[in-house]
Amino acid sequence: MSLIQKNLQTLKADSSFQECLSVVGDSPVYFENENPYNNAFFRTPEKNYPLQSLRRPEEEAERIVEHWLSTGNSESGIYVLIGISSLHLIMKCLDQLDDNSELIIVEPSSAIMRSFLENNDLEDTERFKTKLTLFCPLTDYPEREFRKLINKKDLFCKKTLISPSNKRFRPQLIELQQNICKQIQLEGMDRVTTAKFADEWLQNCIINLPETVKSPGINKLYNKFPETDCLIVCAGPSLNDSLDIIKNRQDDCFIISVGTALKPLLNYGINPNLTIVVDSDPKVYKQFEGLDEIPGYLLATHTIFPGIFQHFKKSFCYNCVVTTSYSEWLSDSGINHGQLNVGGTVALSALDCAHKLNFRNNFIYGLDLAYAEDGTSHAKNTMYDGIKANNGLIEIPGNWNKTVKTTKQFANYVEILKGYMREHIAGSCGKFFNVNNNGALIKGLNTIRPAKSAELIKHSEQDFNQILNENYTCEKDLDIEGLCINSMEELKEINAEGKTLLEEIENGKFPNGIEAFEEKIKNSKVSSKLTEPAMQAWCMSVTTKFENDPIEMTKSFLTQINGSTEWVTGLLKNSYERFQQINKGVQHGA
Amino acid sequence: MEKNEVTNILIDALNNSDEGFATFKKMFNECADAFEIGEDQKGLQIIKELIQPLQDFCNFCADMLQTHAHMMNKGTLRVLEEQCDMLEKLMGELIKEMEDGNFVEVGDILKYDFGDLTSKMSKSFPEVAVSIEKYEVPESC
Repeated sequence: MSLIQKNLQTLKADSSFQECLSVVGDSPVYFENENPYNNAFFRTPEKNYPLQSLRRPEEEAERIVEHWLSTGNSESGIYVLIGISSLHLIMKCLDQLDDNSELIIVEPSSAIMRSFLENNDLEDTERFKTKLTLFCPLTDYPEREFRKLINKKDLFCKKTLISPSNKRFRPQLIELQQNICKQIQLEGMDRVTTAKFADEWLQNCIINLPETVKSPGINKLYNKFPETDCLIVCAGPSLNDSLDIIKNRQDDCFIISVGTALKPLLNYGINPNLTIVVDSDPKVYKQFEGLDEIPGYLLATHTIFPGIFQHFKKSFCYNCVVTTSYSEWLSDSGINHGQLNVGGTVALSALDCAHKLNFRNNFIYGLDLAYAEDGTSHAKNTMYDGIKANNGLIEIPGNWNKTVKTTKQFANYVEILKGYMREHIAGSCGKFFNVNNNGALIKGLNTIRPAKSAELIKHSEQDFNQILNENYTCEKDLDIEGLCINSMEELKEINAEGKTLLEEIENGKFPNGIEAFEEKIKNSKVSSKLTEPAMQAWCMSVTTKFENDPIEMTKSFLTQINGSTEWVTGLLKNSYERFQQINKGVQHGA
Repeated sequence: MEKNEVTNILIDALNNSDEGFATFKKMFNECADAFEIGEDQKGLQIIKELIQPLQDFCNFCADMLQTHAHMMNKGTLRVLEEQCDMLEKLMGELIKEMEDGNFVEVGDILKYDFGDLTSKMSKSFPEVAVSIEKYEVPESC
């Protein structure tokens, strides 16, 4: 067996990793036989440079790792080494990291990765409990692939390191490190958001059930508008400058409005075709307060604040990644609404919607993600009208000005949109124009002035209103009744078993059935999906709270399961009753 | 016959060379440590401060051999000559690797090669002093 094959076995490498090694190319890094581990060298036409001390590489590696870990706490987590270094450094990292940690080595060059695996025996790495993962992204966007990798991990990324030698000879790794750090930050934000809102999202999903099951999915409209231009309207202050243009062209184009931009549009006599809403926060309800029978369609994710549905006559729905388990549960009754990207700002979902509906050209208005010179962050007549900037703004590159002032939150949204444009839109048919006189620079969008957009917008060759109406058809033969009744029964059963086990513990008995109970939850079609948010919240606290007390941990687990099953059963019961009443023609007020 | 003033100053310097070697060694390590953790600017600054004193030290050794070799016993002279040759060689290597931007090697040369050499010289210098002290200046004709 060759050394590379042996190493792939040691690493338990999957087929995609093995595939990346098949890329042909010369490695600028080579390894020379030394004991106990090979030395790495960087090859240049003039000279070969050692990447580690040639006198005492182990001692050097130890000091580098000590320095790396000397700042911040050294708790368990994912530690990321960017760029392959010598095995000395990798071994010292594994040695000094906490046993429950993981070391991920990101190497964007498959030639270097292959050379490393052909010339270094990784068998010794198995003596450490710290997990070692080699990662060799093949696409042009390694940081996005990295995000997907860490998204699947329970642990969170703590630190990144490029060895000093790699920094000198491979400066492109510094940019990769910066991009990876941004992805780590975004992943952290997503996790915190999920932990904070998962229960609220599920609650809203179930409360909205009667409305969502009667709404067709956005996937009914996928690819329907190749001969139509689309205006995507966001609520940044620059929208004030563009309302005339939008109004003049509203009959020529399909209009997607984000919820915050709805009031400014309606006030100006503009009726959007779709109003997209993502937020579950009751605060966003203000965007719809005082509006009855809003024209056009609502485009809602299942998690939106429940009262919003009642302001629209008709709605389309979409799934999003944060409620995957709920969507899977819903799909058991035959409902599949299609999925849109979500993340940070509703503008992302609006862009993804336009992309999936396949418009000819897309003109985005009011996507400022920056404060106007007068200190405002939103257009007039929005729920944020009149609110001005506080201190603590940062400067980021602008569309027309060198820099614009914004918040860290908006700056993160810029990164999210930039990543989305790069990954999903680059090379697609429809063009995306950022129509703005100000605003933050979002790479991947063509920035034009509002006046220019008026020249570029073309009259639609399709009757888009007719297409919308024709596709407003709900699925037939949905077994909502069966789904709700069966789910409530299963949840009640889990709840009863959990209570019995909890009583056994409280009476001083060891709960022998606990493992079978856990298996039952895992394999259940309902409880594993509908109690997931509650269990996610529990998992977040469990590692720190009950380190040395398995009985207390088991009690806490059972209490959480019991609480969540009762909670979800109650929500389902109410929604199911309302669903039945709606079917019988009973109307509910807003 | 008594030794001249220059020789007495040399003996004194050789006997009190410990402090100088310790300073060198400290700077070698600080410079190597800076390159090791990627603080190249700091490393370059230290080396800038180090080069002239090292060059002066090389000149001192060369002058000593030129003017006082005849006063040393054969064994001591051989060791000192070897050490001075090594010093010249390392200076050449250091400057070349610096120019090539090979900071890993620069760190190795400073920490290990110069470090070892200065340790050896700090032991041999007092022996050279004893050897010169023992030398009996012949009566002039």
